[in-house]
Amino acid sequence: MFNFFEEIKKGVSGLQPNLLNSYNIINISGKILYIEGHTGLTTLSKEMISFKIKNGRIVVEGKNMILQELTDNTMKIVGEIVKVEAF
Amino acid sequence: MKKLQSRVRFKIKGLNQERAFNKLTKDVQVLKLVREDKHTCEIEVAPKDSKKTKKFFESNNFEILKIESFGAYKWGKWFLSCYGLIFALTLCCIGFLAQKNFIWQIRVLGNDKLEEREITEFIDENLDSRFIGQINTKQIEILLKDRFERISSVSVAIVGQCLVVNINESVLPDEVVKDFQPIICNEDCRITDIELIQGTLAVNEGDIVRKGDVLVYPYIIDSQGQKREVKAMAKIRADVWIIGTSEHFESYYRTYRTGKTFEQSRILLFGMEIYSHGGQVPFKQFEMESKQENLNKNNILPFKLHKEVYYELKTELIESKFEDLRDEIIENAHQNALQKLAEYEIIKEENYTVNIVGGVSEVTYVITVSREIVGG
Repeated sequence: MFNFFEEIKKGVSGLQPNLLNSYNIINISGKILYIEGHTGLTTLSKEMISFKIKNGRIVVEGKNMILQELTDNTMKIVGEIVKVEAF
Repeated sequence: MKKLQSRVRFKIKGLNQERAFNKLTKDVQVLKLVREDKHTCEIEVAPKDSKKTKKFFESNNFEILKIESFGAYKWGKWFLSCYGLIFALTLCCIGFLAQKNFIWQIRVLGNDKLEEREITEFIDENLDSRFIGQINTKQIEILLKDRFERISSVSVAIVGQCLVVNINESVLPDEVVKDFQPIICNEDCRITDIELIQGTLAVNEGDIVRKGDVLVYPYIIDSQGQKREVKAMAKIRADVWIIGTSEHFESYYRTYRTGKTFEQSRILLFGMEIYSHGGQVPFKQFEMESKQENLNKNNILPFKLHKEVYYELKTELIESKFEDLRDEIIENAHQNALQKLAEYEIIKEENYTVNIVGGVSEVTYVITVSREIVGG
């Protein structure tokens, strides 16, 4: 079955495969942020949403953000996405 | 489409919400999550997960401030909670479907001599049931034909919830009906031409007859000398006199309105006078018109306005000689006679007479026309 993320990874060489299996984030026009592979929500507000990933944490900053979907490993953030930072 | 999507929204209050959401998403898919302030949050889940979500929040010491349903789920829930409405709707549907199978009206068409009531009563008596499935239209047709002799042909059909009875009545000869009437003259005239078809003549050509006189009797005397009733029939032409009159008075008093008016008005409550305006009528000779109307539209205090308008009258003596106005008066009488003529009638003769008695002159204008006073 076609997997969008797997197809992208195929074309990149010289990276350890275990580092590429942590998480995936897609930012659509700064309005929608789709995250795959999170391990838990840590902060939720309209201006900031942060969540844990394997070996780290991601902080998303923006305005009027809401979580439009949340499952145990995916989430969809809708709003004005200003910054995505990994720690 | 988003509006139709079924979902349940919880408004919750509590601490450590993020940890709770992480725990909740192990079993439940969250459709929307909005943090309103530090301790309150709105979360939307699918209806199938709502019970699980509620239980989760209750067991994790969250205060549920509000639960709302949206989309098709909301309407479905509302509909199921209205037992009365569902019951009434079901009852209406059953009632409607049940009554669709019955005849509610019997309509009779084409009857002239026969009474509609008589036919409907007969059908009513002979119908075993008003249930459409049990009505035998063929049988009703046979019964009607047997019962009513006047019916020549009949068709019975069920149209919607109406039983339509279409009748053709037979035309009976007059001898059977025995409804013989003499021919009566409708106007004063002189008979000029007679063509007898059936019956016995009561007049001859040249006779002068008055309105109401019998022209043809409805019988004949046969060769045995027996009187036999028949329908009176004839074609009779006559000279009919059309009369128009006009009068002239040598002196008479004419009363007319001068144009001056005077108004009196009164306001009444339960017939008692509350206010009046006007005073004494300043005219010696007058005529009065009055009207009463409600001052307001409510019935609490029915004030009525009574208004009287007085018109001043004057009377004068008019004198004129008949000879001065002779042509005009004759023409008036002529026009009055012409108005009584039917369209396209041929005038045979015209004349007039003048009668003068005690200052009153009466002109009688007579137009003679030839008219068919009885036809066929």
